[in-house]
Order: sequence, then C-alpha cells, then structure tokens
Amino acid sequence: MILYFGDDQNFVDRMNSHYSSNSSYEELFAEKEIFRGENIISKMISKRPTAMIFDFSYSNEKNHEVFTKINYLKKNKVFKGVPLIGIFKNKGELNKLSYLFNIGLNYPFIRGTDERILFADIHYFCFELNAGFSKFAKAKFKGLPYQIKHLAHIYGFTKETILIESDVSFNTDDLKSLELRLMEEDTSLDLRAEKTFEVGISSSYLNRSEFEIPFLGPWDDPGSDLIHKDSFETWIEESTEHLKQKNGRILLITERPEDFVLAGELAVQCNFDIYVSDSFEESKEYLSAYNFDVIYYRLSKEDDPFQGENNFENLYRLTNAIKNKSRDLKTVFVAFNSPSKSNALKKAIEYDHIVAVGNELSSNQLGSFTNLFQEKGLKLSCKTGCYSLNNNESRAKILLDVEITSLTEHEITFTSKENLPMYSIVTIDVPTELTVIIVPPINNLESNHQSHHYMGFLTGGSEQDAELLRSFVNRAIIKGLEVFSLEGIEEELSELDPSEIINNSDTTEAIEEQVPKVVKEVKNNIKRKTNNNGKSKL
Amino acid sequence: MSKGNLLIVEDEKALSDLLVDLLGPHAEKVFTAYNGLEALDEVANNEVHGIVCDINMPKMNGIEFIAKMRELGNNHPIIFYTAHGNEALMREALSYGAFDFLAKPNFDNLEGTVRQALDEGLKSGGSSSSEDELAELIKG
Repeated sequence: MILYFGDDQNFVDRMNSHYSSNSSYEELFAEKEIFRGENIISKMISKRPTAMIFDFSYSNEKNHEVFTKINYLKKNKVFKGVPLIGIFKNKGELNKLSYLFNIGLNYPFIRGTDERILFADIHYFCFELNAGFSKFAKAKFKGLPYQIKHLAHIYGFTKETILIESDVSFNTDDLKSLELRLMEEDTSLDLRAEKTFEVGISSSYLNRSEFEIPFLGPWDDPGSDLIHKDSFETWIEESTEHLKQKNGRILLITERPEDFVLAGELAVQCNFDIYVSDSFEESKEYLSAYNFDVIYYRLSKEDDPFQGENNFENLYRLTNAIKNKSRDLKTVFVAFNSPSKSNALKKAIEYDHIVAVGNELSSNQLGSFTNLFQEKGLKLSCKTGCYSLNNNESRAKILLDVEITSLTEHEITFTSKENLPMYSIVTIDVPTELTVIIVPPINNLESNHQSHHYMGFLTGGSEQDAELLRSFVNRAIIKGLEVFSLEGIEEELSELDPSEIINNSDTTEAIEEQVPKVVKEVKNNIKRKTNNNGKSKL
Repeated sequence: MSKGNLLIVEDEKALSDLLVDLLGPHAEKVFTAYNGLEALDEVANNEVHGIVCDINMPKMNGIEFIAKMRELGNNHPIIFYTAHGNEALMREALSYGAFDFLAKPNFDNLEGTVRQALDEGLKSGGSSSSEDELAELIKG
C-alpha cells in the first residue's frame, strides 16, 4: 500500500487506475491522507505502507519537522525499507528543499512530468521487480568519461577538519573534489580524507568521513583557493546564526517504532547528538564505537509486540560494557518502565549512574530530562568539539569519475571505481541537471575487476528537461557522442533538426511479457539487493 | 499519623529477632515470617505497608515470593536483605519491582530505607522524583 500525503485526489485516482490496469501491480494501491505533522507518524505506524509519497506542492509548512521525525522512524527496522518519494511543484522548489535528501528523501518527482514513469519507479522501489517500464530509445557508449556528483552532507566542522556524511567510503589520504558551502560561500575544494567510519542508523547516509581542511601555509600563494586559518576560526566563533555546537551524545534504546520519532524531536530541540537503536546487538556496537553521555533505555513490557530484548539482564550487559571500556566514563542511564526503584537498580546492575523511571517513555519526559542535563550542566565526557550547520547550509556534493555506458530518458548506466550503495543518490548536470537514484539493475550489467557497473533512474527533471534529454539521446544514437560535455551538446542541439527528434514516448512499448508476476502478499521488508559491499540505503 | 506496618521475612530466627528489635520503633506493627509461603499468609491476613525479605529461604524463596505478590496485585515495597552471591537473583527480582537491596549482615542504611519503604507503602511520599535523582547524579 502506498500512502500519499497531500491533497490531490485526482493524482491518487490516476495512480490507482494505473496500478489496477496492470495485473502485475496486484495489491499495490494508494491511500490519501492530508499532510499534517502528527497525523503522518501515526498513519505511517498504523498503516505500515510499502512506500510513502509526500506532495510538497500541496504544503510544505512542516517539511523539516515532519521529515526529521520520519527519518528517525525509518531507522527502525520495520520502516527502513520504505522509500520516501517527494512531489515538487517545479525544479526551483526541489532545489530550495534539496536538504530533504539529507533527512531521508529517496526520490524527487516534478509535478507535470510523466507520472507513468513515477508509478513504475515506485513499483520497482517496492519490489525490485520490473513491472511495466516503458521501453525507451537507448544510446550506448563505450565508456564516456564524466563526473557525477554524489549527494553528501556536511555533518560539522572542528577547527581542523570537515566531517562529511555520504554513502561513499574513502581510504585515508584519498583526495576528493567537493562542492560545498563554506563560510557562507559556494566553493569547490580538493580535500584529503583522514578517516571514514560507518555511522549506522544515526544518519541518512552510511558513512562519515573526516577531511583535513586545506589551510593556507606560510609558503602558499595567498591568492590560491586554500583557506585562511584565521578567517575560518573567526567564522566558527562568530557564526552562531549558522552553526550550532554539538556537545555530548545521547543514545535512545527502544524497540517501539514510535519512539524513533521522539529521537527525531529531541535531535531538533537539543544540542546533543542523538543516536537511536532498536536491538541489543546494535546497542553494543554503538557502545563500542562511541562514548555516550546519556542513554535512555526503554525496558520492554510484557504486552509489547516486540522481541522483548530490552530487559534487565541486557541492561546489566550494557552497563558492564561501559565499565569495561573506561573507568572514567560516567554515562548516565535512565531506565523507563522500571518496576524497581533506582537504588535497587544501582545495586543489582552494579552501576551507580542509573535512574529508574516507573513511567512509559514519553516526549515530555525525554524533553524535560534532556533539558535538565543541559541546564544543570551534565559534565560531558563526549565533547565532540563539533559545530554543525543548519540543514540548508549543509549540502555538499562529492565529484566522482565515471564512464557512462548507456542513456535513455529514464535510465543511465555507468561504471565507477567507487562502491556506491543501492539507492544512493547522485546528480548529473549534462545534458540537464537531474537526480539519479542508483538502483539494482533491471538486466545484468557487465562488470570487471577494476570498476563496478551501475544503473540509475533519472528523475527530478521538468518536462523541458525530459525533452532535452530525449533530444540528446536521439542525437547520441544518430550521430554518436564522444564527450559527455555541455559544450558539445549545446552545439549538437543547436544543429538538431526538430524532425529528427524521435518522440520516444510515442514509440513506447510496454514490456509486459518480461514482467514477472508480483507476489500477492505485499511485504515491507523485502530482501533488498545490495552492491558488492552488501550495501543498500533502503 | 500511622508509621505503617512492617513484615520481616527471614529464615534465620536469631537474625529475624534482631531485625524486629532494630526496626520495630520505625513501624506501627511488625509481623514475621520464616519463608515466602508464611509471608503470603501474613500479607493475606494483615495490613502490611512494607516488607524486608531474605532471598534464599526454604519452601518459597524471596524471588518466588515477590513474583507471587505481584501476581496477586500486591505492589507494596519490598526491600531484599540478602548476602553477596545472589546477584543473578537480584537482577531477576528487578523485573518484579524491588524497592532496594541491602547487604547482609550489615545494618547500614537499613532503618532509613525501611522508613522510606513504609512511607511509600502508605503513599505518603518520601521517595524522590526521577528529576531530583537525575539532578543529584549530575551534581556528582
């Protein structure tokens, strides 16, 4: 079931009509809900949709708040695989709201473009099975060199490093070109990676990489692109409007999906870095990777419909893990739903920094306890020394060399030395600015030992972009292209005789004979295909 | 104002007598039992506001006793007065709602903790809020 949040009943009707017209789409249907903050979360939990569509052309007043919550909800295993699709009025609106990619948007769609492509793509996202993709004219290349831009996010700055979250893993000393906003200016920098580590479910991205800031040295040309250390430090100290200092870490351990939303609320409200975990094993991994100042632990209840892993025995194991890690670490545990009192807990668990709360975990209690930690000045053992940007300022793109092997107006295939996870997002600028969602290939793609071969869905373009792309593909088929560059294309397009343009959508043939029958039972947790490293964002 | 009635569940008679002497002044009435089964009878036949209970006892141990009490809907505070070596049982007791654990044979904090438990049992307050406890932890 697809949950649509918006006000366009006609769109929902068209979607239902599309799915009902094709026997391959059995069991896939859409329901409409009005876009309201609280309502969305409860609907998502109760309906357990296979995909969610947010119509930002209808309302965007609460985008950030709602998406932050949903992003945390998606960290729960029940919702991890649910793709979030955004519908935008036009490309301008998509650009304005592009920070939504940092908080969980998986696929953008511009209103007014071909909805049949959207519906087929959603189906592919849900089941990873081809069900009625149109067959577009395909331009094939023998590896056209190009630079794609992998979407990333500036997690924060220290005084020496930039922390970038992305889906790419870098080796130490890798030199990468990035486009980002730094000191309120759009800039391009070549940055050297110091280290990369997996961030698990604490981020929309899979990895966090530390890059050395390229400061101007005494022998460097002052006119170069290198950064003046003094100016950078002054900017950090004075940019309170853009930068928020993150100090301390909180881990919320709970099995209830709705509590993941509370973590999202907390992340917006406080200066702590918030992590959330729904299993004992994952919690152990977090404790071994990070030090935490506070751990909120929701004890499972007998009538919970979960595994009931969060018991006192596992609490004991977690506190022991902290004690074994460092004697100086004084992580405060708050155990919710505890029938026992704090003193009993301290003695039986053999851990002094724990408080028992008899009540159920709630937004109010989390808020008031976290305020208390901030107001009373909890002595932080996890000073990150990290300043984070607000969402709009934190966008970044990592330039990656690829070789394009084919292009249609819907799909692109390319080879790359980078290991890109399925459903990670890149952009291309040529022949027009488009978003590319890396998906498991519909048909097998040839790979070799040196590079990986990927397929991506092209999306996020306007109707004009679609026409331009169609012309470009046609030109490539008719005349061939040796370089995938804007200059060459503009020239080619200016010479193009409109009569040469093949209207691919008119020649579309549905490939129903290739369509495998979709399993009748709709499941949220399909076994998703992954890249060579076993990675998938959904 | 009533000080509340206390039940002492302890299989060693000498220690039980000692506890009655020590804790008697803090309670309105003190009842005794020598195992969990007897304790259930005492609770059924008397008004009890707080309980001091050993863990290792014949017939019905302290964990079985608290489990039965909670099953019967009785949520009165239970302080476990127990020797070292019972840590796993202590953690088991947590899921039934233990008020505190005090180490045998020490009497440190026993009177104060019994007073708090009786206050809690009488619902006259006395136990600190989670916020207060957290503030204490933060102060270090």
